[in-house]
Amino acid sequence: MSTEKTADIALTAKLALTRPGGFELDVALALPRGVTVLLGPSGAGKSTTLDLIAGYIRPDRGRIELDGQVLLSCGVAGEAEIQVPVQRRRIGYVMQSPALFPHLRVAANLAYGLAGWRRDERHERLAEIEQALELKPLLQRWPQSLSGGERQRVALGRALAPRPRALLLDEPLSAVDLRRRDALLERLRDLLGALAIPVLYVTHSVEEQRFFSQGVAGCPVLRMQSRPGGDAIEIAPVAER
Amino acid sequence: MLAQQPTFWHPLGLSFAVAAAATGLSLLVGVPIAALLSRKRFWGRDLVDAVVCLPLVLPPTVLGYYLLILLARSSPLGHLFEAIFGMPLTFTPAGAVVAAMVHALPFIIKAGRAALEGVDPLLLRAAASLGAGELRSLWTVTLPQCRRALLAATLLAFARALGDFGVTLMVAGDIPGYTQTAALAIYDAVEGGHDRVALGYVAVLSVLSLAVMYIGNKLTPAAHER
Repeated sequence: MSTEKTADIALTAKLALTRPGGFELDVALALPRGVTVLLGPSGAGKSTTLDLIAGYIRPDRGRIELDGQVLLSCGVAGEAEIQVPVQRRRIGYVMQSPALFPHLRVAANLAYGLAGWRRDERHERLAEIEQALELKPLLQRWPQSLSGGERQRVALGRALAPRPRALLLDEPLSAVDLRRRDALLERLRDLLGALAIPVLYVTHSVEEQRFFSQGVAGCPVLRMQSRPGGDAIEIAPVAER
Repeated sequence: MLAQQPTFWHPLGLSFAVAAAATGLSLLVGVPIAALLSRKRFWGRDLVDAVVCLPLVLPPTVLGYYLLILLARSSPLGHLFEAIFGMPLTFTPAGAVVAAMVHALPFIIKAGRAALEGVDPLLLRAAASLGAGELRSLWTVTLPQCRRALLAATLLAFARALGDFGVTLMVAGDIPGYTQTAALAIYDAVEGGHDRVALGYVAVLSVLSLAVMYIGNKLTPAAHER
């Protein structure tokens, strides 16, 4: 990556994790604002990487910095241990399963992350989100009644509503049936491409990756690979165009 | 007419009030304990879990004995209670409530823990990533998710509290018109040869318990539905 690009880096993460059974993860990421695609086969540790960044798992050693704030520092020489809990990291996370709250209607799901907001700001923000993701017709529905694609749209809207400082997407289209996938992918690409925060889009699908690379100018691609001959897994930060 | 004698209804009213109070208090105490047992790992967690279940297997006389020692007027707890409420805990209706709680609390904790642990962990992850701390996610996600299961557990606990005999006898005594619950009144009626009175209590308690169990069972299977 060139030097003028590095000035743009918003999220850096260096993480090392060993699990019983020989699973080893060694990750170094530097994400600019905008979409970065993380590509790798299933079982390569992509979801684990996202869980580490989001804060659900604590690495053995590692450091995460987002917009100049250290979110995690553990086992780093000369630095105090820091671990900002998940709920204070302000990192949006869209999981493979949309995990919408089944006891809340779509509108309440969208508003969940805005609990501490002033009423008028909350309404304004929700109107923006509903507009951007075309969620108006779904607001009064229950999550159980939505299609796979609709659920993911709501999950994305819910994650974006509280203005996260970064967004993680873990195979967001895996639960969407194939016929609808293309239309949804295009919409997702335009929407994510317009965000001014680092967005890490994880997929095992080369097609999805190509789609992003073609549509978003300068979209970096990271490949996650198994190290040949070993269990250790590392991210080779190959910037592809 | 049996039903027109005020002395007939007092034990039933007392039983109902005692069971309701015991169930309510068990919810207040039991749900946080269940949440703690299901969410946190701490030293002695399995021991706490086992102690909580003891009332299900110990003879009522053993439980009553423990409570008498723990809550007697001379004990610190009994002293504290008397200082606050102006009446002793033992051999009063308050003692009957504690006796009923001994049966209701294990149900709430056991069923509550199972229900809380049955909540989809992905929902809790989602709540956390949206900024919700543990208490907020407990209140806005976990509890609403298992409210049916908790309601079912509450009804079962109520039915169990309604039926206590031995612990109440030891801790609250059998004082007619004061601490004599329906279960105790049945015993007295049979002892005194008042078969019709006993039959009346038996009938009312049976019907009430049957209704509570029936509703409770209907609520149980659909724990994950809205």
